[in-house]
Amino acid sequence: MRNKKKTVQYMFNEIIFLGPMFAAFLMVKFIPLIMSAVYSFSDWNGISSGMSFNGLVNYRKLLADSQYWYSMGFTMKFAIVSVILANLLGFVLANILTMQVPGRNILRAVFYIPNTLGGLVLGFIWRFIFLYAFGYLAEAVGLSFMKIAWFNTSISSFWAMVIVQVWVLSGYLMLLYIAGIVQIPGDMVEAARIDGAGLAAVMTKVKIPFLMTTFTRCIFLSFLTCMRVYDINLALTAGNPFRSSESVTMNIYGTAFTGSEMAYGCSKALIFIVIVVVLSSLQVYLTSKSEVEA
Amino acid sequence: MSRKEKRTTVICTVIIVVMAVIMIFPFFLVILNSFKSMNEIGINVMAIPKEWRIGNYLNALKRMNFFKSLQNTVIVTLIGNAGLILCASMTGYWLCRNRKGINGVIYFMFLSAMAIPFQATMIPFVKVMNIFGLNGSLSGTAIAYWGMCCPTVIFLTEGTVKSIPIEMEEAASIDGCSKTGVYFRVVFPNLKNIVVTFTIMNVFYIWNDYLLPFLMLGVNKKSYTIQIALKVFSGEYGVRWDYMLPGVVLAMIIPVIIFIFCQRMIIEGMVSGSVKG
Repeated sequence: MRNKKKTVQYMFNEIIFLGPMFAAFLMVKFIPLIMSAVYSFSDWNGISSGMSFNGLVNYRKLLADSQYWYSMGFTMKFAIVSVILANLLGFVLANILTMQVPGRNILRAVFYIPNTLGGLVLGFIWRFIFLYAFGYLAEAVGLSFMKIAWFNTSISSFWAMVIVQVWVLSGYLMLLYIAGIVQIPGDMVEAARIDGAGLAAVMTKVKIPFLMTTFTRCIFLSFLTCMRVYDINLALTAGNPFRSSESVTMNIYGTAFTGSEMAYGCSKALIFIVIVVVLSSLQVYLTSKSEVEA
Repeated sequence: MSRKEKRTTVICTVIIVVMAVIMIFPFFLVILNSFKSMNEIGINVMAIPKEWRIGNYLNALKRMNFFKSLQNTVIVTLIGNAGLILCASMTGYWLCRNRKGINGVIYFMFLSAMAIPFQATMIPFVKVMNIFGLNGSLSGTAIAYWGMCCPTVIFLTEGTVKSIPIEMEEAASIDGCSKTGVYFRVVFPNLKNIVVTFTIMNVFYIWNDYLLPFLMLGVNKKSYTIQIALKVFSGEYGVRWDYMLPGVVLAMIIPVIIFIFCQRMIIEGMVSGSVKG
């Protein structure tokens, strides 16, 4: 009798503690994920009636979809370039802002500000800068290469996206690197200096091995952020010119919501997820091999 | 400090200040030009405006329906965060103390959901929200954010609860406190730090999100959030910058103000490593 009462009590608590969030979670993440997987094998167009399963048709279509693979390649190139540049810049900023520089805290805040804004806001700000400010600066300084019409060629659109993404990400990465740098045992650095190691040697032989965990995390997070880009893409280039700067998310959105090919969109989304998961797992595996325990 | 170290510091200070100025220069230009007419912007983008056209801002306020969008954004952010602070932290606590059986599976589900990006689910998401009648409503959007953000909140809370000694809870239980009582009176006061951390994270995330609110609220002009409203200025045939720039500034003001107030907390939290990204 007592056990039964305890179980009822327990179940009651389970529902109160887990219920709300688990319900929301099922609605928002779990059920749509299952539906996505299931519908990708059908010809669902968003309206439930009149749907039939057609096996791998969507996936075969996907393999032949050149615009989709172009977007995939564009997004991956964008991600790799942005990750490298943003991490480099963030790392440099972090190193400078862990030195005894006056106004350190204010400067850290300043570099982080772009991160507090929405992707659309950032994209529009930079669209304005690229269209107006660069032309003016080019004339003033005399550098003719800056005078190009930024959004008329695919190469300049690519670099415009990279510049904006690096601008946004480096402040965030800078803070993560600072977190890693302050954890480096000071006595190791001291000992190396006393033994006569120069700046470069201290950096490469002492500091960087301790920062490998931070590198892994930063590259992982920045890679994911870049692959999922949409807001900045939409506001900055909107895919111009002629869909040559279209990210994968924009491609999926266009297929599913503008083109009403919901099932095809689902298959695109799933392949995208698989590729991202494989690449980021590979990256984590490779970089964590050289991590050092402090 | 030796002379060599002092010289390095000075050089680095100069470099970093120059970089900081370059970083915020875009903001400066945007604010400056938001007061000009479209022609004036085209003539000389760096010049100080001949007349400071406040009219641009009044225009943007009207076209963006700014105060309504602001209200909408605040409602979604508020309800979203209230639910997460109240319920998601409860879930994190419960899953920390009770991991047996089905709870283990549930915890794993929450954890692996953190790896699933919105793209994977966004297409059927719209349909599911339709079925449950949450489309087009602000509280429905807030509930969507509960689902989106709760895995991270649960993960962070669970990690913090692990380091709270269980003796306090057991003592309260013995004294006849119900489970919920134990949670709110004994455990929750100790979670203040992590609650502040994830709330700030979630506030910025929800406030700045475009795609999810657009998918849910896009059909009803009256329930636009600020991000959706801002998109209004970007048409098929180019942008009218004397409308867009004031709109951008209006959209920027509040997140920046929130950041300035909380910046010490945010930065210290991230630098001390309590926020693992």
